[in-house]
Amino acid sequence: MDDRLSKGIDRRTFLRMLGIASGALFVPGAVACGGGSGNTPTSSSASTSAATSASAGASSPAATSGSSPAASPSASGTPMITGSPAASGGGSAGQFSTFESGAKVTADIPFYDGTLTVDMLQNPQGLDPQVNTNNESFMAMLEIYEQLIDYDPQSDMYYPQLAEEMPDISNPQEYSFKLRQGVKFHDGSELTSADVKDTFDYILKMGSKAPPYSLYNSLDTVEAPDPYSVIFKLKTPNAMFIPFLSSIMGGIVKKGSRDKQDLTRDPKGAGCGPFTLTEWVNGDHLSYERFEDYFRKGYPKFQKLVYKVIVDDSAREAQLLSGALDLSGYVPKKDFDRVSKTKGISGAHFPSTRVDYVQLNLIHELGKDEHIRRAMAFAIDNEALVKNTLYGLGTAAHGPVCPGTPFYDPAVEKVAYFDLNKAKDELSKSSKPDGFEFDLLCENNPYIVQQATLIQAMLGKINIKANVTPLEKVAYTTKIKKGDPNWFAGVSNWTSSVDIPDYQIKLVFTTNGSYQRTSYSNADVDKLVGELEQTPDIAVQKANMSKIQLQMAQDMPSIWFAWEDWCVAWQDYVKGYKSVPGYYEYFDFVGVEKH
Amino acid sequence: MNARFVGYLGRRLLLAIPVLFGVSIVSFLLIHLAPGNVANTLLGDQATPELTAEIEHRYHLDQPLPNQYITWISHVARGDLGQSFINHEPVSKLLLQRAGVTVEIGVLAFILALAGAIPLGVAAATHRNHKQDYASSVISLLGISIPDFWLGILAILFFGVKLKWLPAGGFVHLSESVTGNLKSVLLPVLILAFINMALITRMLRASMIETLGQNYILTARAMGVPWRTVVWDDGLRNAFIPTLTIIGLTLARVLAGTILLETVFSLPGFGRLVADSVFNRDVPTIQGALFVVGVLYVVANVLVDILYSVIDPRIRY
Repeated sequence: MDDRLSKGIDRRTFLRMLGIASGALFVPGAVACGGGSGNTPTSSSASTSAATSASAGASSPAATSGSSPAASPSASGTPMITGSPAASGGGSAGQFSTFESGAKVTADIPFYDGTLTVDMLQNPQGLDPQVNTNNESFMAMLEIYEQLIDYDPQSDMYYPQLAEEMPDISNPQEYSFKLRQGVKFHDGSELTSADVKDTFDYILKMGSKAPPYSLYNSLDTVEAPDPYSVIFKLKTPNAMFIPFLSSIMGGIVKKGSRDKQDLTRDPKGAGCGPFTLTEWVNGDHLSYERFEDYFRKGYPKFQKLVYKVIVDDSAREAQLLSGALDLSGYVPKKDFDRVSKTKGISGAHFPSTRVDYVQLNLIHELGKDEHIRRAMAFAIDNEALVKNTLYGLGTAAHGPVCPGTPFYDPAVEKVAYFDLNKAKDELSKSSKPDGFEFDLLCENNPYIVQQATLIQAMLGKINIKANVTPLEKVAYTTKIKKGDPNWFAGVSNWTSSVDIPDYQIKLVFTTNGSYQRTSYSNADVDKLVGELEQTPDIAVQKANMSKIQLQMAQDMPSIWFAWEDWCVAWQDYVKGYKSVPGYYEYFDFVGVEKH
Repeated sequence: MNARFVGYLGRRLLLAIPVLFGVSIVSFLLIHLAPGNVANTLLGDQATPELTAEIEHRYHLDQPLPNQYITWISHVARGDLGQSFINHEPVSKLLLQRAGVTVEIGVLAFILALAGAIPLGVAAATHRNHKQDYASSVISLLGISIPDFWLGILAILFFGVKLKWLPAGGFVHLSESVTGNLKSVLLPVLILAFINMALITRMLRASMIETLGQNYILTARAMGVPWRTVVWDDGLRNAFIPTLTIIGLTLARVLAGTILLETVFSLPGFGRLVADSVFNRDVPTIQGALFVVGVLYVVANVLVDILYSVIDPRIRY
């Protein structure tokens, strides 16, 4: 236990221990059923264990060219086989955090007194971790702030970051942390428990007006009995509380800094991360300087970091090829193979938490008819969509759980699959046996329009005429609204910021899900999802997840068709880069062998 | 500058007020006719009704439209263009930040365009149906027909990626490096100049051909005035009046920024700011930017009016 606390805790072990504890509170009988085996446990959710493998898959990217950083297959395990990410071998997890495993690779690389330039898709909305939640803000804030703990998908472990060790989890309603001593904020002051308390008190004070509140709403109070101790007291046991502390939304902000400055624009002195922000030119770039007093001595291994905002795909590619960019996390899939084979450039594609699907509106006249929904699902060839619109850089989807992950039930493939005859049969049983016409909404992003166009052609084969209607992003999200009967279908995608497979089901498809848009409501699904959070029995969790998947494949509130890979390319002199599914990128341990 | 001219100038500037007022109302209505608002931008897919309502309240988007407009216009009257919803900075500061890039590129491109268009247009008109005319026509047609962003991508791939002579994008501020700055703006300046040169050349050619066919030109030639003097002193001066209108509009256009070119070259200019603000529904920034663009066009037109009288002394106000 002590050893685990100092080094980190793998998610499975953590949840098993927590499961036993909370099981004792909630389902005493289940402890006996589920406890004991090495893979058993967890009170939290099926999701957590399922994610274990999902992210292990993520740790084994398919590096495609050149000398690759630590994220390459040789360093982390079997190369990913497209079509079965996690099942294909996962990663040889190892017992190192993202930082530690990256740092191992770059340990012997000398300090580079220069700049690492990477790209960003758009301007961050702001740099206050408790206020700003767009992807670019997350990326920009990860360099400035640190969390109490960190999650490493490479090893599927939670690691202490600002905490000295992982907390004692014997009481699932109360977690005590010891903080590292001597950690400095960028203004030179020392991190204390008062800063941690103030950060979470702010979230509690703002309530639902603060985006992170949805992660931490089980929190009751935060106590700081001494300068290096913090106690989180929860209203109810919540297994996800510890994993959620690894989110940058729980980034620790120096007490009182919000009173002095607008953190969304000026985070100076408020964080204790590896870099300090020196310049932010709106819409152009963010410049960072190495924080000399960073608590991980010797890191970062280069002097400056620059995020360049590049909105255009061709401009991004040209800058990478010309050497103006050292690393790009947004290489267009259509160009990935060519770019990553360019001399001097390496690339890797990683499974991500992003899934593409056709969202259906169940209160629309057409959406109410389950035969119509099923007919459409049978008519859509998900393999063809992966091949033609993602250029093979993804995995065919059959539901909201990624194939190959432990909680994926392959039986779903016998319910939701491509079969034109079945599609025609379902349509003949529907209220529109002769076919119908509708507007297929989508964002005006070229590859999403391409997906919509291909789906249009597929549906045309069963006499369903889809009019592809591209809308700019804001117009699209405004149109696809819950309770509005004026839309029927839209090509959407979802990226889970927390790598757990029931995250989307809970938020988007349960009756009271915060991000519900389809108006899907199935009491059985709601009940099964609710039970997942309570039971520590992995067998029950798996059974519930199977039932949910099969039920949703029958109900077909949406048609999932692809899990996307994340494509990254970098100059060969960049060493130790680690990618994390979702939108996190870590550069604090990256080395630059450029002379 | 006589009193009548000053009076004219005053009247033109006064007329600009209703024009700018109209521009602000139309742009305000247009952006509110578009679906969605800044809350959708900030929250994206994860917009809950509570958070959406909170943001709408924070930015007074829950107020009736006339109230929102009156609030904005009353601030403008006091010289305050408001604060960006997205960047949380004064709009005037954002506009100034972006204007530097656009003005530098725009002014350089404008000068180059004029320097190329005048000799080309004159050569085409004076050598009508000869190789100079054909060459000028081909160059003009290419400039008018080729989209600037496509030309930009080709130039980046050739000069930035293949030859590595120039940066593939981005902007280096003059204060950081003079050479770096010139290198970073060279390609966009050349492309913008080429595109705008084409239009001016076409206009000047047509105007010169018409002018050179006038009786007074024939008379001058019959009187033995040298051809060069006839063309450059008499012909060009008279032909320049209609061309000047196009030149004025070109100046306003290049200073208002080019969205696609700035996007391809990753330049943090005025055009990109407007485009980003439209996509983000950042109403104060859109309003402020369009207000400034309106002012630019008004000023350009007034300048053209002044230059009319300089070129042709018969024109009096």
